[in-house]
Amino acid sequence: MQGWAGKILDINLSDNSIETVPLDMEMARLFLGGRGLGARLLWDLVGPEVEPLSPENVLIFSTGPITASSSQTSNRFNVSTKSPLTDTILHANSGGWWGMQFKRTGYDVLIVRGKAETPVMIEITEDGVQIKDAQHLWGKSVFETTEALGQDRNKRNVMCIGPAGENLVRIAAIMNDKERALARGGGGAVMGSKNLKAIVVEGSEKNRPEDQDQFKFMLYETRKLLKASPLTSQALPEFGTAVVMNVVNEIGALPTRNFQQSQFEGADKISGEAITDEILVKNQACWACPITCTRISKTASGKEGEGPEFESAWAFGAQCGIDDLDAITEANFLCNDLGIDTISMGNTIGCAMELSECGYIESDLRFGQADKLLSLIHDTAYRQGIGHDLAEGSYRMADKYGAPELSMSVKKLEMPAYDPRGMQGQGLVYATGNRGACHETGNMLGPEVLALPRLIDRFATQGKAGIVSVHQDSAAVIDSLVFCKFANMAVSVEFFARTLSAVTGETFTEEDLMQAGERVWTLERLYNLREGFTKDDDTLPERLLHDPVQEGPSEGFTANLAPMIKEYYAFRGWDENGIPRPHKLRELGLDFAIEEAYD
Amino acid sequence: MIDERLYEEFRTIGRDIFVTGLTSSHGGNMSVRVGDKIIIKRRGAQFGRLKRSDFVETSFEGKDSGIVRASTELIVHRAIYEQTSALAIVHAHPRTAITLSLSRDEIIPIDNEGSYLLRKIPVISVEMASGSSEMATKISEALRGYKIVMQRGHGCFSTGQTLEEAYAWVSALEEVSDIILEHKLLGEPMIEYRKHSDAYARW
Amino acid sequence: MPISALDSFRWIKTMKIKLFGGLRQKAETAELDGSGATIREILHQISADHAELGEALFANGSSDLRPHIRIMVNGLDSELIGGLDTAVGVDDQIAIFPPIAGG
Repeated sequence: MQGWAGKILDINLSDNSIETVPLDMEMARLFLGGRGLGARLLWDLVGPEVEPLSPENVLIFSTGPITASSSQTSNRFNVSTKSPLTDTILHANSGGWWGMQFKRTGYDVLIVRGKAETPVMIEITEDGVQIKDAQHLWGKSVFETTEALGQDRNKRNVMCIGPAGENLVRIAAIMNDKERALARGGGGAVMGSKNLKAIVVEGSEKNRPEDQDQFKFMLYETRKLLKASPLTSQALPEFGTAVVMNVVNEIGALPTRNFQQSQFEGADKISGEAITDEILVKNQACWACPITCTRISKTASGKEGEGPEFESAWAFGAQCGIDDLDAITEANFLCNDLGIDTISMGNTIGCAMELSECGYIESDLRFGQADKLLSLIHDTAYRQGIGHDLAEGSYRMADKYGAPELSMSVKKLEMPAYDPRGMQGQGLVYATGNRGACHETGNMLGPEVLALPRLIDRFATQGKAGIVSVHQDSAAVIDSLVFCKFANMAVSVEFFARTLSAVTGETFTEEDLMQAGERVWTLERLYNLREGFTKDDDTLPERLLHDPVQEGPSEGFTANLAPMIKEYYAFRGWDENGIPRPHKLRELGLDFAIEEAYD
Repeated sequence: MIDERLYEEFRTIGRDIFVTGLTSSHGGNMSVRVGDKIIIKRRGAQFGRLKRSDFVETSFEGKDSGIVRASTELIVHRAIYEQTSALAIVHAHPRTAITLSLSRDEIIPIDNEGSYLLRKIPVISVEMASGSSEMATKISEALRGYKIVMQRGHGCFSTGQTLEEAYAWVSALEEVSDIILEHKLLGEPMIEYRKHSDAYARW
Repeated sequence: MPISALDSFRWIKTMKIKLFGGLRQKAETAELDGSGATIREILHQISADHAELGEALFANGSSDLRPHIRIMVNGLDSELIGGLDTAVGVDDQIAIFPPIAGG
C-alpha cells in the first residue's frame, strides 16, 4: 500500500459478521484519515437517536495515510464514537505501536458495531480476522490482559479495556500497548457496552512511500529540524511534558483545588524537574519517534511504569491539593491498569473533595488527602460507594448532589490543567471544543505562555479568535494524518503536507491540509448541532466567568468569554448562533451535510 | 479605531521593515485578519511612520467604504485570506530578492539559516503587476504551498499567524538573497556542505 | 570595616532569581541571589558568577538571549513589559525558564 490501504474492516458483534469494504478514496482525500475520516464515517453511522452505550453506537478505529510509513511519529491513531460522558462526537488519540501494527494488517479503518452476547475479543493476524471468546479475560486488569494476549513490542500489539470499561464507567479509557491511552470521553465504556474486551493485531504489510527519493529527503529534513529545536531535542526527552508545571504555575494559571485558586504552593514538587530528580528511571519513545518524551518512573513501592505526564500530575496534584509525587504516580499507574482517563479522574476527585468540604456530600474526603487516591480510583472502576458517583464524571456527580456549578467541565468533559482566567485564549479553546473542554484541540499554551511560535498577550481577548481557529484546524489535520503534535513543535504543517505527498504520490499543499482541518472541525461542529447542542453550550463554568482570581499574577481576572465567542463565530463564518453558514459548508465540500444541518 | 496593541505591532514592524531597507518610504503594505474583518494599511501611508489613522478596516465582501482608502492591493490580501489560513500578510519590496527574481523561476538558499527556514521561494510572473485579479489569483494560489513567494520584478508576499511571523519570512528571504548575490559577485565555486540540497528545487 | 555607599546600594538590590528545568543543573541550584536594576543587568551578573548558566542563556558572548528562554517578572512575561531592559526592584519575583514544552 502507498498511503491508504484502501480497505475498511467492518465487524458486527451482534451477528459475528466480518466484512472488508473498500475505502471511498474521494472521502479519503477530503478527510485524510484518523480523526477526520472517523468523523465523516460517524456522521453517516451514528445519528442523534443513538444512545452511546447501546449496540447502535459504533467504534471507529482509524489510522491515516502516513501511519506505519516510518515517517517520524507515524505510530499514532484515532478512535471515533459518540461519547457516553458528553453525548458529543468523540475522537481520542493514542501513540505506542498498536496503530502502526493495525495498519500493517492491511486496513485503514476498523468499524465495530453491535454487541456480543458474551465477552469477546477480535484478533487480526496472518490467519485472518477472528472473533474469539474472551470470557476468561473479562474482569482482568489492563496489564494482566495485555500480557495474557502476548503483547510483543512491535510484532503483536494489544488494545483492551480494564474493569472500568467493563463496568461502563463514563470516564473509562481504551488502553493500548499496556500504558498508552485513548483516554478522554469514555470510549472504554462504549467498548465495554459491546462486550468487547480486546483487539489484538499482528501485521506484515508495509506502507511503502510512492516517491522514495522525496520521502527520504523529507525524513532527513524532518530529522534535521527535530534535532535543531531545543524543544524536541532537549526539553521533551530530558524532562517530559510535566516540565511545564512550573511555568503554568508561575504565571498564575495552574488550577488548584478544583479551580478555586490559580497557583499551587506544591507545584515544584510535582513538576517535571521533580520527576527527573526523584522517580525517573529512563525515557522511552513510541514507534518511529526520536523525541522520546515518555517517562518511565519508579515509585517507593517498587512499581515501574509509564508516566506521569503533565496533565496526570496536575489532575491528582494541584487539582486535588496534593503534592506527594509518589502518591500521584501510583494513582496514574492504577488508572492505567484499570483503564481510566487520568484527567477526568483527577478532576472529578477534586470536585468530590470540594463537594465534601462544602457539605454537599457527607464524607470526610478533603483536599490534600493523598492516601485516599488509590481507593477512590479503585472504587470508581468498580462503581463502589462514592466510586459510583465518581464513575459518572464530575458533572453528573455534582448535579446529583445539588451543585452542578462545582463541576469544572465544558459539555461535561472535565477541564484540563489551564485556568482560562490566566489564559484567555485557552478559555475560548475549552468553550468551543467539539468534544468538550479539551486542550489537545487547539492548545494555546504555545502562543500564550511558551512563545511558540510567537508570544501573544494571554490577557488580551481581541484577536484571539483567529489564532484559536488556526490552532484548532491544524490540530484537526495532525489528528487525521496521523502525526504527533510534538513533532509540530519543530516542523510545520508545510512539512506534513510534503511528507504526505511523498507517501501517497499525490500533491497536497499546506493549505490543502489546513482546509481539511477546517473541514473536519466544521463537520464535528455540525455533528454536535445535529445532536441538539447550541451556542449556550459554548461556555465555561460560572466560577471562571464570574469569580475573579484572588491572588497571584492573574489576580482580578475572570474569563472574558463573550467578546471572544462573538469574534470566533464571525471569524469562522458562522452566524451569531454559532451555526456554520451554507456557503461555508459548500466551500468546504460538506454539501452532504447541508440538508441535515439546517433541520 | 484600531486596537492599541495591534497598532503597536503594526507600527514597530512597519518601522523595522522600512529601516532594514525592505521597502521604500510609501511602498508595500501589511494587513491582519480580525474576526470577519481585514485591517490594512491605507493607501499612501508611510511604512516607517505609521499613525493610528493609517489603518482601514474592511470586510471580506468589500463593498463598504473602507476600500476607498485601503491599499491598492486589498484585492490580493482578500484573496490570500480566502485561500489560506493566514492571519497576517506582509507585502514588501526587498531589493536583492527582486533583482534575483528577474532571471530565475525560484530562489533557492545556499546559506545554512535559509536552508533551514525556507528551502525554496517560487517566483510568480504577473502581467498587470499591481492590484489585478490575475495577481490576486496567482499569488494566493502560490501561498497555499509556501510561506513566502516572489512576484517577479515587484516584491514578496508572506503570511503568518502574526505580523511578526510574516515579517520574519521577508527578513529571511532578503538575507538569503543577499548571500546569493554576494556569492555570485565573489565568483568562486561553491563547496556544497549540505546533504540533499539538490532536492530543494523540488520543495 | 565601613560599608561603602555602593555596598549598601548593592545589598538593598539583591533579589531571588528562580531557575527551572535544566538551568538548575547548570547553576547547581534552583534559586540564586542576583542584583541589578534591569533584567539585563541581573542576567549578566549571574552569568558572570555561573559560567555554565551564562552559556545556557547567551550564545557565545552575544547580548541576545538564546531563543526560547523565557523570563517572568511577577508571573508576567518580560517580552510584553520591556524585554531585557525591564526595570526590576527587590520585591520583584524573577523566574528564568529554559526551552520547555508540554501538552
